[in-house]
Amino acid sequence: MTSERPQPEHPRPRSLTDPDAFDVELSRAEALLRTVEHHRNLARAGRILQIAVPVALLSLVAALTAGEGGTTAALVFAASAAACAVTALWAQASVIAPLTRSAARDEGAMVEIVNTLREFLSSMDDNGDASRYRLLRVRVERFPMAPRNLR
Amino acid sequence: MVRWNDVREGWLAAEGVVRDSAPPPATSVKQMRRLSLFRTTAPLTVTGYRGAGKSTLYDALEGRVSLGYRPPGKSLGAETHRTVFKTGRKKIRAESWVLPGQPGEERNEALGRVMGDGNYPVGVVHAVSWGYNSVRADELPHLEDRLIADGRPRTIASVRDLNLKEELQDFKDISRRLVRAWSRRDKVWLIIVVTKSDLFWDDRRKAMEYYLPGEGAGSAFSRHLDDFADTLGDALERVLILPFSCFPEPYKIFHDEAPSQFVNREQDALFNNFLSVMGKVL
Repeated sequence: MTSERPQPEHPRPRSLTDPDAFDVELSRAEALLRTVEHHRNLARAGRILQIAVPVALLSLVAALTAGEGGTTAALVFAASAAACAVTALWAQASVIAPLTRSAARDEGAMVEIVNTLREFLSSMDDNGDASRYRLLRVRVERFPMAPRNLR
Repeated sequence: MVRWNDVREGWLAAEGVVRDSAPPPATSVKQMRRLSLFRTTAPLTVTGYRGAGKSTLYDALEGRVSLGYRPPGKSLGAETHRTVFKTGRKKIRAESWVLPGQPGEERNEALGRVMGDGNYPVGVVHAVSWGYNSVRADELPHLEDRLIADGRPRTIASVRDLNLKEELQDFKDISRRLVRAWSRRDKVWLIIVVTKSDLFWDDRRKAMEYYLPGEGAGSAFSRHLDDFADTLGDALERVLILPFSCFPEPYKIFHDEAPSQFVNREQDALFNNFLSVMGKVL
């Protein structure tokens, strides 16, 4: 005997002329904007570390091997430099590049959502609620009109 | 205080210039040299909703609009121009900002630079096009979504209705910022340029009535303009509303088309009229 499961109710998608639907999509775009900014900040921090850590490390190695013989110091320094280069390349491939790609992908989606919302923005003023319209407009104005790589 | 009758006279004079063929412009315009060390003294701003023809207007001012001209697409950022206006013995070096028309980060930043932190333009050229705003191919799907949601047919009339609404909201936004920037200033001016007049030249008086405050109820735009001028009072030295066209072309959208009504290069007369007016207000 099979028991009949209640089917989940899928609400009919609402048009973006509906203020609540507009607000939902705008909030979604804002969440994407936060993610994009977070990923960009992480990638920026990663790039700074990519330069700062090797510089600090190599300076330390140079200071520590200052009293050693020329060949030993040069070998230790070269080995450290190679290790730094490998680590920097690894960080680029496995951390910074994925973060940048993810930010670009999310930004593309966000711009597409907001460009649609821009067309519907004027309908938010239809019921004469000017303050609501102004607040929504201020929120829309935070978004770029095109992804960064196209500007 | 702005006298709307004078503004009306200005519009009618532009019509007369087209009818009687325009006198040569008393004002000449050219781009400043890239490395020019002269300081600009007149900060100007060109505003208007997306597709109103702001960039084309400025291209025309700098002499870049000719037979093979292709109008630029949507501006994604503010454009800056350094231009010399020469009127008789007067020579004015102006720095003009042409701002993007749609609400967005780029426009907001540019508006902050030209109308924020104590900065203000001495003159604003606000482009409107009586609903005939160009829509780029990549924006069409979004516009189509909007028309479907509103239950409207895909016609020029529907698109114009939407554009007029957006144009009004854009003007409300700009005027709100101008009231802030122009408070405690004087001798500032606003020219409302009704671009693409070649598309509705036969109905030009209707367009004039739409934008020009006067007797009767008027349109939402004209009422807002009236309130704006009232708020600024004597600070707003001049307001002009002028028909304009510099690159006549048919308006095509969704397989619907409105032809240009100009046949005898009437746009030259309108352009010359606009130039001489700029020479007077600068």
